[in-house]
Amino acid sequence: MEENTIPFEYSRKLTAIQRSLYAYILSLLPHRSDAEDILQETNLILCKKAREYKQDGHFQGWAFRIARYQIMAHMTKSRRSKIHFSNELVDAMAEEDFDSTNLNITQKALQICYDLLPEHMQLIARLRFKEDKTLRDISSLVNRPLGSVSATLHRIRQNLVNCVQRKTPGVEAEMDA
Amino acid sequence: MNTPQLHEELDCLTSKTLDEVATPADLERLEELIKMSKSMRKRYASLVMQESLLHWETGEVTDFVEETKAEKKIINFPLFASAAAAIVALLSAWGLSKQFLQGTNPTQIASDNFESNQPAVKAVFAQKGNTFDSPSNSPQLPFTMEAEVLSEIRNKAVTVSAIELLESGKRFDDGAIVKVEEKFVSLDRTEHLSVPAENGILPMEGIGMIKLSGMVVNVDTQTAEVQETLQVVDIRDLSPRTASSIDAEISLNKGATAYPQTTEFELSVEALKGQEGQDKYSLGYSTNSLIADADHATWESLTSSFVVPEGADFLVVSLTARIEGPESLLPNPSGNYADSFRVNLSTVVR
Repeated sequence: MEENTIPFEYSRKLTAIQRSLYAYILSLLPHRSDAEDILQETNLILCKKAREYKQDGHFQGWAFRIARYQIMAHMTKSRRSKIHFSNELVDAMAEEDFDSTNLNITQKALQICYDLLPEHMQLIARLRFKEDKTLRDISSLVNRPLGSVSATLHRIRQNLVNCVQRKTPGVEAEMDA
Repeated sequence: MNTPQLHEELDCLTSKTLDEVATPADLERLEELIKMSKSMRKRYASLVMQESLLHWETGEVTDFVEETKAEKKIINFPLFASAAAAIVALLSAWGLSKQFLQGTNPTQIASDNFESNQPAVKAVFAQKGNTFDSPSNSPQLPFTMEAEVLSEIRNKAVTVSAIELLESGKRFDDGAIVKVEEKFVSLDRTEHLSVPAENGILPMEGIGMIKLSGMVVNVDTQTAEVQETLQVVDIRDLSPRTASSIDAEISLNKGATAYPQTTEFELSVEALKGQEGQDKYSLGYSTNSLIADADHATWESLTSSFVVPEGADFLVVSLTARIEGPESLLPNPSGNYADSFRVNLSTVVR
């Protein structure tokens, strides 16, 4: 492999795990901006280390290990400034729970479930997930108390996760057909 | 406490944490719950994975959002309307220029395309003033839109505002220099996009160089792109008996990255026509492109020439930088630069 070149297959694998990698980082650093920074740093390291990767290795596992080091380094640096999980949780979270192989099926199921949300939930979901509004912004836009918005978002996430679990087998069968 | 109750508590605390309203006690309890069992960890992972899909890149879900936006009045600026409008306008502009070349009346085409149920479609060049904010004031646009379209929207906003300023006869602007020549006036943004040496790149000449804004990345199409309007020339005062051509030249460079990134630069000149305060239509454009080399010590030159179509009122010179493929998803902190930008307008009496 030439120096400074990234094989196409490596790039493809790196692209394929982006959503899972972000989710893994977010699960341990539940601040979006921090998670996005760590994702960028991890991607950069993964690019620099492209030549060290063995073709037959488990790419996701390798990438997640690099992310894990970055997360722990970040937690050490920001220990005093932000509330965060402990190092023990970093050890406890299994990368298998963020498997990227069936993500297309989950995505499809999520789309179906999103459409099934009641209208008022769709409105709040749009503001939070698409437009990245803070709870305070949403509260003022929809003229509802902060606690009510927070509770609605909780219900939205709960509805979606339960719905996705129910719909996944059907979507899987449909995509196989 | 049974499993459903624990799940309920986990869901609630996860939601608060993801919304960044959790207290230290909430986080401590959430950690305790996650550590409790494998099923709790799976549940937590599912919730966060879903958050990632919803928040980071959900191309299809956005379709739903676009459909519902017309009924929701709480957002002052019709983000999705304008984005959708931009797409249709781009398509329409393509159709327009194609048919115009074939001799069809552009006004007729515009009404054919826009009349039915797309009142906002003329947005890109037709909407007035406050509908399009300047890029710095723009609300965050939906990240699932095509990178190209997002970049277009921002760039058109700048162009629209430049044309309005020129039409209003003002001779100053916060984001550009108004240059008054003998027969025409132009609005030049290069000074305002200028930065001193940075990222190991020295200006090709003088003490400043143009720095393009950060690229807009579209994960689904694997494209990163930025487009900047560099100059808008008002040629309404040129005699109708005058034939003119425009030549634009620019030198380009990009910062070094730890990995190879193929950046394509494109220099475009576009001619627009339209009465003051009215819709502007594209009469045609010319583009020229090059792939930047990886050596940040050298500058590469790019030119674009264009015979100005009869009846043109404004000429818009813009520069685009684009990365395609998986490498577009990688961070691009090194920046894209341009210098020695020159525009020459030649006129000949017919």
